[in-house]
Amino acid sequence: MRRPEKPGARDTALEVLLQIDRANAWSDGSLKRTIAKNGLDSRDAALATRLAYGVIQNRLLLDYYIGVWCAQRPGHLEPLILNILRMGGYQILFMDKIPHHAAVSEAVEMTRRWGRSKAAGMVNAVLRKFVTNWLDMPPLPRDSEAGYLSIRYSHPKWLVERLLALLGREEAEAFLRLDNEIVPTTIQTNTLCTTPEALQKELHAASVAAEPHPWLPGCFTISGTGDLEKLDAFQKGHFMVQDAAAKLVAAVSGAKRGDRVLDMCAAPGGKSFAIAMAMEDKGDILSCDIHPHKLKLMESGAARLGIRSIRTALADGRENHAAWVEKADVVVADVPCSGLGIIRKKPDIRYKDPRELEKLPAVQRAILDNGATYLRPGGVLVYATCTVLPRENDGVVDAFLAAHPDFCREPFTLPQPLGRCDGSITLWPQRHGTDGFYICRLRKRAE
Amino acid sequence: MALRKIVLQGDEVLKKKCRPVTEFNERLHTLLDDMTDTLIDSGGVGLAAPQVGVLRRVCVVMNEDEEILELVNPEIIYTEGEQTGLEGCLSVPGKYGEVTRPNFVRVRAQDRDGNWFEAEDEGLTARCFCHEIEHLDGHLFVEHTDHLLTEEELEEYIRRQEEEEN
Repeated sequence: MRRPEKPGARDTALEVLLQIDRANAWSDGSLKRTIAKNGLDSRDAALATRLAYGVIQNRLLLDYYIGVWCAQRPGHLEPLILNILRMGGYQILFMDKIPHHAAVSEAVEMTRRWGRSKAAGMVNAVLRKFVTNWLDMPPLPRDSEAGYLSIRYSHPKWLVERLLALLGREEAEAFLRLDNEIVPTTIQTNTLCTTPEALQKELHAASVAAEPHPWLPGCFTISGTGDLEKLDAFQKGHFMVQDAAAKLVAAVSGAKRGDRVLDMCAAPGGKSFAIAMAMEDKGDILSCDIHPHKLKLMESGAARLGIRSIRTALADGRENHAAWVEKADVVVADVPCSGLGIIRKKPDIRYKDPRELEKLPAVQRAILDNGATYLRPGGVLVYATCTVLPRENDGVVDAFLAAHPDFCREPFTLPQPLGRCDGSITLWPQRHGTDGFYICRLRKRAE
Repeated sequence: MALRKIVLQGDEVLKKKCRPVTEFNERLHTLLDDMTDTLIDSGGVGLAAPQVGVLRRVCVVMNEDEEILELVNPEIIYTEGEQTGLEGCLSVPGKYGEVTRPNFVRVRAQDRDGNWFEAEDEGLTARCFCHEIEHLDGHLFVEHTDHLLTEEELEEYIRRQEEEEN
């Protein structure tokens, strides 16, 4: 007898992949929701996450091989069957701990369970090809460098071409490779209530391995947390999860005790929190966002960290609030962007429609123009994105400066090895080990 | 460990009445060991000998403590109450249907050496006793239900049940 089972890790991953394919979901949100709905325990949740992310990260490569061995072209397969094949292929090629026969039989069984018994034979045949050839897979087409890298690292060709032009072959490949690697979680010490040394001791006591970041003081990479948010140190607000690059925004802003700061697109709040810590929680930070539910998230985050200097406000960064004009010492515009610097954390970002991305610089510029009005003369405007495309970064800033002669780029200094930066810096995973990130410091002339 | 191939619905062997075991020898022990391995591998909770193509009155049942009971020549000697719930079968993959069974079942059976004993249980394991012993007379659970659930209906069913539990 068999009892009806709750959907397992593989069913959950499949559900998520189907939702993403229908282009109505982002991987992280969809995973969170589906894992909760299916009631997975932490082990199954980890497997479902690995499978879904792994397939997204290797989609083009897996589809290439499926296309070699399947009579139908991958694009002509039913999405359900295609994703079962992708998941099976991913397990065979990339997951050492899953025996090949188990990957195949699970896929075949899943095909039946999802009511596609007729396709079970085909799924079996294609995945057996993966198993017999896994040490010597068919060669990838080499007719163009961009085409080859696109399949090898599963990034769309337009993005590979852009990166090749920006970085050259060797660095572009390093960037692409890192996008598919596991990223350690980076945390920042909440210096309002503890010290890096005390935090490290506290984490070690909870058997969490915390390695000091190679160049950013107070920052650690951690592993072995199980469920990070359940840690006592997290609940007590002794640290927050934040990439080193994002933390640098606080340093570039130069915000200090007593300043008035306006964070225009603040959710989920990390940069506001980092600035509050830099200001020793003395001063006034107004953290705005366009989504009401995200304000609640920021408020609870600030409460957890014991920050009192932050207020939140619902505001569209493009719309001017007369009451705020020329009031702020520091304005932070961490604008909506293509997110191409954080593909390593949100793997499906790479498949965004490039035509949609072309609309972003106009939005970014509108927010920057608006932010400029909120700044008192002599104040500092920080412009930041989590992308690496110049047209969303220096491109937007250059156009802004051309229209605002009262602003100029101002040099700043960051911890070594970054050192002195001439007004702006682009951080790269393959160079700095951080997210891909852009930060620019603009000074408004005093009257 | 030796896994045996599970026979699927449609195979004539699942419709036959099985003969009692008369010799408690090495062959029987190997059959029982293989059936346990096959059951665990398949993720089911019960397996009858005809499901691995052997027409003898033998089955293995996993109770809710995940202990394996080996039942040779089993008979149901007492039942009580009633339960209705979803049931599936390793020989009918992917299909589930609602079946009404007794809620409490007592079984008399022989162990692998021929010693008679009694076992009793309720809920899922009681259901499983009925399901497996039926196999030995050539019957499948689908005979007790008019409607097999689709994948979507199954998900909905499980969700509803969980909501009731909470």
